Amino acid sequence: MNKDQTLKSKKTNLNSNLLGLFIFMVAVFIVMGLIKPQTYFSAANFQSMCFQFPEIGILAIGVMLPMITGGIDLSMVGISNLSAIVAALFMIHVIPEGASEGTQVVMVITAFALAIVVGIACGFFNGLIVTKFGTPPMIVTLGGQYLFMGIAIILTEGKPQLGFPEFFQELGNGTIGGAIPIPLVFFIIVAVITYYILQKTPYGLKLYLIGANQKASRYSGLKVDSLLRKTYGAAGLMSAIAGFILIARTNQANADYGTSYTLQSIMIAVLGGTNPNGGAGTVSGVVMAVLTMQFISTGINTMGLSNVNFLRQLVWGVALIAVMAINYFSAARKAKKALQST
Amino acid sequence: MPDVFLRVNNIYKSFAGVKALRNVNMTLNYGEARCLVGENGCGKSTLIKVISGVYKPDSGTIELNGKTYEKLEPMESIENGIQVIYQDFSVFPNLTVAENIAMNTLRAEKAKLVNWKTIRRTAQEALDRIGVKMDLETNIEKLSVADRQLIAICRSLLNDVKLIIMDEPTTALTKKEVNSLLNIIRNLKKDGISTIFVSHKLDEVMEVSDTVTIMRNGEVVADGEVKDFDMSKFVYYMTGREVTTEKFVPTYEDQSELLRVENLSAKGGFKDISFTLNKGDVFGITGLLGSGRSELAQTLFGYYRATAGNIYINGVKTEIKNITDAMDEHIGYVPEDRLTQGLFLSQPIKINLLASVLDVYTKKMQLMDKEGQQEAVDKQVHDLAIKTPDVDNLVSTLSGGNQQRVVLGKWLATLPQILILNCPTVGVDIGSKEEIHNIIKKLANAGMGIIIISDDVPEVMNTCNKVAVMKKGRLINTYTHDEVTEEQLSSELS
Amino acid sequence: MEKSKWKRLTEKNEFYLFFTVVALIVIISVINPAFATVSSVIDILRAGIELAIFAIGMFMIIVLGGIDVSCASIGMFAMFTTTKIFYEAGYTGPLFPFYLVAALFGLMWGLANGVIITSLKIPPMIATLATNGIMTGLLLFFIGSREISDVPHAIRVENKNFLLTVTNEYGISSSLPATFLVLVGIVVVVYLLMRFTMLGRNIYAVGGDETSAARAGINVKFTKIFTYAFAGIIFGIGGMVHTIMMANSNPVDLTGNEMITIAAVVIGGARLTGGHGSIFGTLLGVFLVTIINNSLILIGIPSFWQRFVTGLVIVVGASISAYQALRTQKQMNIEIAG
Repeated sequence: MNKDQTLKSKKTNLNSNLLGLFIFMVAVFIVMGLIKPQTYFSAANFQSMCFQFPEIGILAIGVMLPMITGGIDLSMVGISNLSAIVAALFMIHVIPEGASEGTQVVMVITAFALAIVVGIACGFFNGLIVTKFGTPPMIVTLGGQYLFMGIAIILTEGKPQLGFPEFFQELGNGTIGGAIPIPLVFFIIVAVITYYILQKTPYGLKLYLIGANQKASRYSGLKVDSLLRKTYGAAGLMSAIAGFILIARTNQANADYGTSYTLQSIMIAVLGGTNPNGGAGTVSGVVMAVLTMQFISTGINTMGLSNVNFLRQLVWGVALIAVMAINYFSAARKAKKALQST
Repeated sequence: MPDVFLRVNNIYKSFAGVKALRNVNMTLNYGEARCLVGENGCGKSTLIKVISGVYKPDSGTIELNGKTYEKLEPMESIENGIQVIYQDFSVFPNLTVAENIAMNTLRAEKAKLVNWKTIRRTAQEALDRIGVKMDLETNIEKLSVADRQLIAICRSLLNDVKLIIMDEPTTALTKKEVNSLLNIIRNLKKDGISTIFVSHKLDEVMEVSDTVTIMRNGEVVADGEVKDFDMSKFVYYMTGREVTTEKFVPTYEDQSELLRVENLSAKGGFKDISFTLNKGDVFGITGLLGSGRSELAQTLFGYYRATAGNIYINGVKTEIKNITDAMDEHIGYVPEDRLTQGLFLSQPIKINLLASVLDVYTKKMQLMDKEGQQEAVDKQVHDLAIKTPDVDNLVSTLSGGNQQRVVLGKWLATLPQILILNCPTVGVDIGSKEEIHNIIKKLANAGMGIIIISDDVPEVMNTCNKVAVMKKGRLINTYTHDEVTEEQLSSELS
Repeated sequence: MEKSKWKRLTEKNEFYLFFTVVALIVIISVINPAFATVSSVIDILRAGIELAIFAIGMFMIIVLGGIDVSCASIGMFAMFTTTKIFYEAGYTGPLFPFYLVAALFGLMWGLANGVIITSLKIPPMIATLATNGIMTGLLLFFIGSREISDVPHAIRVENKNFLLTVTNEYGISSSLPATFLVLVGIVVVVYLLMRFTMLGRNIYAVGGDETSAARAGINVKFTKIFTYAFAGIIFGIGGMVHTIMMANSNPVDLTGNEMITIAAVVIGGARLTGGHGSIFGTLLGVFLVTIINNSLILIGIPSFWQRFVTGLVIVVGASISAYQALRTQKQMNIEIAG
């Protein structure tokens, strides 16, 4: 085999998974559209989809990061709610009645910063326990989920928090120029920055190395513990952003909102090509997976059946196993091919 | 009763495109002690796993007690009375000594239920048989390497065993323990039990075996009675050439002190280690598995922390608390287990070569400097003659020798002044082995200080200008290479 | 020998957990003597039955080195489908067939988990995450999403079937339901299985080192499928017990319980990496979680704190055993001469 050929086959190989995912996404998009084309292919429907997926999308990108390192984060929803509640409490209790638009903006930005700090701190706490005591990430973040939700419950005594400034609600429900939902803007920013970090910086590459072989990473002199702490911190940061958008959209903060998002975001990350054992995962894959999920949800909803949202879980479960099965059999075929070619 | 217990017919076996066994044939009679020798990576271990049913051959058959198997299952192998003492012991770290020892007996008896009294009795009998005392209720994870090896030996000595295969069974054992093992093999022979003995320690092999099979690059290259072979013939068949033993003489001009270690100790690892490494030196530390050799190497690299003693680098007292400290002092470490500690198998060759210098090649905004990276990769591929059509290929597509060069290249990219190599040629074919030795000598002659940890005595003798023997956590003797012979080193080792 | 036995005991996680639980009981009793009564013991036992059943199934899977996040869904699927079948058939007979059918549904899903995990080599967490979605989807969309409160007669009878009832000085009575015997039965069976059969020891062996297990002739694939299937049966029965104790079958009742189940097993000293764990420890873990959820209020800690304290126990408990393992691993084990 000459050099050009190998190079070519290698490149197509790398993109073939993403290409497969892309084709799958487009196919789902069309099939779901055929159920009720008039409703589905309307500008209003697209806009409403773009309001719906950013939260789960940001969580999925967030959970991908520890998964690339071979870990996991089951506490993201807990962090989302806790940081959102801290921001909510701040806005409810600190912003004076009838504050000017300018004050509101400053206060909301401060609340956002507060949420971010809480999110990073929670994530960093997860990372600290994982690296200091060697506790498996799954159990640390499971405990973390209880801890963070527990703190949120203690802070709110289990009651929903309401009454945010109008400007704030715009962040969850408003659009830019009447077309682009603001949550979508948040999602795009998160996706682009994560893409940049993963693909272009040494930090990103190191995450893949840790996931590929943590022991070898240590022996190669990577500061594995500090990298892991940063990674869990980043997942916490994204949880906080998702939580912030969520309360802006729903106009209330709850300690136990969206618990089903935890497993859903992991599912999306895996569907998007993230290897649950670590070492692989791309932002573009996860973005496509999120969109696919949204197409399925919206398509099923247009059927107008009762309880139809339960069907969604079934479809997702089947899709997840199908993707893993395809991966498994294509890997087996490749190994066989490699054997024959020599 | 037929004379032949085991016949291996025309076995072929490949892994991901690498041919590990090619047309292998072997016959074993009842009561025969056969030794299987060859360089690392020649296919011995693969052959054993085919006989034990762990690997299924691509083609060829195995005949046991006159019955032919195409796809032998591990359980069928066990039912035919085959027991294997694996190189990595294959014990269960979470179970007790008693259960580990008795498990094979229970399984061979096809027991469905567990009687803990019987387990303890079986285990105690097995321990008595080789004359070892051990607490039956301790979990294996708390035991030393030598004890684990003894347990692996113990549990294979079942009542109705027909063939015991020992894959490097003495790597962690002292001379006394080795002798008692050799005695056991002699007794087994009297009882009509066959043994296949895999070892690269030729003196052990010749002592107990009747027949010998020599393998090279996945093929059987010689087969016959031990008495027809002498040392040089062995070596000739194993390596495929007359080996020249040209010793290494350092030629770097400035032979000033690079590293001095004084009374270095680590709890549970080693004690009072002192030596000096000059620029241009290749210093060999040889010792058994479990002698503390790896622990010493890893402490110098900051993986473990020393509990007492001092380290001086270029005459300056230096504390190495972690790997970052070691790398700041330009110390590199090529680990013992290439696959789990050295390589990122699922990643390209290029990334493997860059793993330790990712922060070196950066531009503004934390971006990776792809051109700089490419230059660094090209330099290593060229300098080390890594044979690959494309550095973007996965590192797992390379042969063992080339993989080891990638690990070496990863460290050379960091421009080390001290390079520690832990068993640098394990699982490397003979051609690559010699080339790696030449690379090491070249690096030393360019002024690098090199420490080689190895239990391969010829390797140490050929590549090092200073040699030390490590035993039970202590450095017992240090020689320059002309003060000592291979035989002397071998005997001091165990 | 006596001394080394004692020393071995102190090396076990269960040892410390036991004293933690005892200390907690003593502290609560001192602050609030009402806790140290037979009736509150009965209350805790009663409250722990369900969690204990699920935890024992999970314990087997965790010893194997696996995980099952679909356990609660298996329970829900089994209990609701079973109740619905008998409900719609107008069944009026005895209770036993309910357990049997629920166990069969559990077996079915457990087998599915085991087969998917072993044949497609999917990490157990992801595989059971997927089957979890499939199960809840099937259950809620096709079988039904509205609770059945008019449960068949046998369930209502069993709901009022108590082994013993104690009335305290305030006239409030506490009863130990007959479903406790189901738990006892499962504990005995699983204990015998894990301790005295080769199959059980194989589960420990596979969890300890899969490669070594395969070399020793253990059928690793079978062992795994068996464990998931057997645990599935236990989850199915656990679901049925829930319906009996509620006298009501609600197909979303157990949602989210998988996490506390895993947590209880881990608090009980099992390692997620496999090979370690005991029934006794698991039961202690369940006991501790149950006390936190039911009795903290007795010493003036508001119920808002339950989740937080549970989280703290999970993180601290798991970290202690993980740290011990980490230290053993990092320790050098060389015999030094002299």
